[in-house]
Amino acid sequence: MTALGTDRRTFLKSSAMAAATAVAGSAFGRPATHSLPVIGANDGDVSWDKAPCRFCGTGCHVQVGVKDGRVVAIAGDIQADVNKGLLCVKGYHVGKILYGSDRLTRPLLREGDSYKPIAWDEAIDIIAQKIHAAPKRFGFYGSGQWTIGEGCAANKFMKAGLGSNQIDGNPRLCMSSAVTGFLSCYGVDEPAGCYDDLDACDVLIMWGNNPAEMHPVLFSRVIDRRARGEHVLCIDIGTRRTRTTDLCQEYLEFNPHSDLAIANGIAHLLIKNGTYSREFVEKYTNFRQLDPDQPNNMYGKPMSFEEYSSALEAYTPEYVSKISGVPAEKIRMLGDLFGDPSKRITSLWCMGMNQHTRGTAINCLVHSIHFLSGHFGRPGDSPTSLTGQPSACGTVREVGTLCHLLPGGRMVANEKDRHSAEDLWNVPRGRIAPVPGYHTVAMFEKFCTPASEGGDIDTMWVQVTNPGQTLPNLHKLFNKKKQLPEKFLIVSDVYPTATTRLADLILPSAMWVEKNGMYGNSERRTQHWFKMVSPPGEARDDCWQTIAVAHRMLELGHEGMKGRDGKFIFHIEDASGNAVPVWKWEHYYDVNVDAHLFEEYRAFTTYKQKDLAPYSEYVKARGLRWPVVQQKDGSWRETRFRFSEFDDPYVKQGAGQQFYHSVTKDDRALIWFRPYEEPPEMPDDQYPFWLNTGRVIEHWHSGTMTRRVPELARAVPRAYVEMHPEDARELGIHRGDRVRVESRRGHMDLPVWINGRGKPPRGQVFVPFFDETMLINEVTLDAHDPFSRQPDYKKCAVRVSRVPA
Amino acid sequence: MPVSGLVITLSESPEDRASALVSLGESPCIEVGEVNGSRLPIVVDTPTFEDDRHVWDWLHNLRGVLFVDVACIHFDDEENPQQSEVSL
Repeated sequence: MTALGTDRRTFLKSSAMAAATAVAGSAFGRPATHSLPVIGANDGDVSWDKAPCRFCGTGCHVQVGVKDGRVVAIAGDIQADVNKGLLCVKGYHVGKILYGSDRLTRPLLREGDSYKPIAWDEAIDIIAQKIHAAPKRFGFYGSGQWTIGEGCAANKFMKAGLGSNQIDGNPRLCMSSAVTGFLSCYGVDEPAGCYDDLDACDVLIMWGNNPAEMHPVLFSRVIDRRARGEHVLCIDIGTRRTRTTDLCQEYLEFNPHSDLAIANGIAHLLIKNGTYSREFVEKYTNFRQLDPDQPNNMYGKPMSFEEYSSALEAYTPEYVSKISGVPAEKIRMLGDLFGDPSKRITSLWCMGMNQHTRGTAINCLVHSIHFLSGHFGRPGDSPTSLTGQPSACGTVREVGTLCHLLPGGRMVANEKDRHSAEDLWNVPRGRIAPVPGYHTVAMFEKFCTPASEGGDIDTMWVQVTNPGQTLPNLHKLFNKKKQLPEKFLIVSDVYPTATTRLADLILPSAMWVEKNGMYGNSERRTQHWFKMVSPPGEARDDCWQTIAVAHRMLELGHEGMKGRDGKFIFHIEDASGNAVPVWKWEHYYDVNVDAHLFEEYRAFTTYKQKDLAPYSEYVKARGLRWPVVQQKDGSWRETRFRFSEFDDPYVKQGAGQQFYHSVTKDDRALIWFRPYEEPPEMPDDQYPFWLNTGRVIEHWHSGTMTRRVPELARAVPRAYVEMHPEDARELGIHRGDRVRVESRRGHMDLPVWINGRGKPPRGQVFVPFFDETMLINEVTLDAHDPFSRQPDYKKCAVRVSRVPA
Repeated sequence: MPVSGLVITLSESPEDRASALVSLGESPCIEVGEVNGSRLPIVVDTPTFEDDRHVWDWLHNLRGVLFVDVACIHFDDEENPQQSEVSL
């Protein structure tokens, strides 16, 4: 460590105070009064540019300071509406994720138990030969951390090139239940509201959500309002006390899985008390239930208001209390709040509702109580799901990199949608396969099953994600690969991970500001950044890797790599009309490949009113929320509140609310009845505890990046198990003891933390999943929601025992 | 030797606010700015990243402090980068 000179240090401190003072004076909902960069503005050595943070789905913007080809400083971007200059502790350190000492810098090919460096050409050829030999037995597994360009390239390569839908992404594990919830209720994906709701709500309800740690900058917006004297009632409906609980006026602790009963209890009271919104219900909604004759039909069958009321009859506060453990008076409190039209209520949720074997159902119910009560369509009145990854929405939900989707909300099973996509991609009719591929759990199950036993995925390519740590039930869905030498695993990543452990070929990737990129955050905001520094060694962009493999397959004679015009499907020309061989790395940055892919994709987005502006508009902005519609004066206007006449340009004049993609084709949303049912696995005599898994504020997801940041790694170096002190006492366990957490699928040994940051109730333990040395997903359950196919990481049955010293 | 600019959201309670301001003013590694509504800008200057982390934890648990946000961090005086435990 070198000492800073006194002058330099004084300068840094004064600029840090200037930045903090500017941020303290900023406010959500008001334009920025300062321009960035504040810190370092007079430091001539440092150049600054904007980028969205690399971590969660909030979509904070940072200013990145670069000096001598290296990121040396990070500041919150005060011009960004999302964060107004604020950052959390991870965003604070985001620049350091580039500089872990073990960055992957060369392609590596497995030889027995070790790896040998190989040239890029050889690596690309190996992949192309593998896929070319059996294209239908190849699976591509991507990510909500893919940039939009990377997702566009991968999706086109698979669906328009190989004619295969065997592509899925890790958002299947984190937000696909939110997708099926939106589709079931609105007929189209993604939230109607946005973060502005947080500035206008009177009541904020967090459903199994811990934003104080997982989306701290968003939660800070609300806490700041309260600190300024505004009355905002914050209600934490959760299964374990967290930092969020400490900042809420109400904490309703419920038994795992019983959130459906609570939502039905609220609807019951709205009907019984006559406090539902007749006007909203009659003008804008229809009622729905699952069809017992077609249980796999996500869209169900109609029901009348009377049938709906009758179905809710059983969900009295007392009955709900019996199921959920929440006192009946608290259920009545929720019913009264939703029954009060003068209040503005925002619901937030993330993994607690999504990682749930009834994830689609609980998503539908929370939307439904907002519709039933009329708490919808005004700023502050909104049901809003949050995402955990920076582009789960932008790259996966919107670009359509799941096995059943095509870009812009199209479906592979819909002939009209396929034809439309084939036209826009300029590939022959019939190129896109009509049958969805495997969802994530099924894809890895097939990959980890011998070919002779039906395992029909032989080669997998994983980009920008770490399934060897994040899949549930790892022994079944990932670790079995070790015994299957005929299966070939390709991993593109920036560091060694739990997934590279079993990789046959490892490709070193560029990350974040080492490449051009665009992300789409939780509130429909599409964000842009430019490459600022070079990746280390021979690391290269994931997008280039995909295009290079596609071109090598063209050279091998794969007809799918040609479009209708006979040209390469990634044919790109420069401004003079000259073809640029972007599959050659030395020419990749001769043009802006991201801009070309984005403009091709943009043509897909008007189909379901998810309109995007031209690439150049995002270069200027700190993100824009779609639909972004051009005005008469040529400017581009974003949309904050969808389906509401006062803001959404696609709502007809005089309509008030218009759900213009409604399932019932009559511009109405659906209010669902979905009953409470028991989970597939519950504690019993053998396995008496619930296991809940999740995150901590210092680490992001599997820790690949944050564990390389020394101060984050030191702050929380290891996973642990949180346990109630009474449970620990009964088992003779003390703080710091090593215990075994064991399920029917596997076990993990961890130290115990009693009365730590999170406080589970009796009968529950919690383990964070960030630690690659303690893979708690060897214990979790792979049961998943029947519609979203999203696994339930929040509850399975385990037993806990002390590990002898 | 990190220097960071933080923004603290203070409690609405006058007593808790006053308590927080006194505690912050007594900390040798914290420079306190001017309160703006409920927000207080501060600069934290610590000799090591370990100390920086301790200050962060202390702030989170300080009476009268509701929330701690980050405005900026300078880390061009870098310590050794971290390597994780999974290797090839």
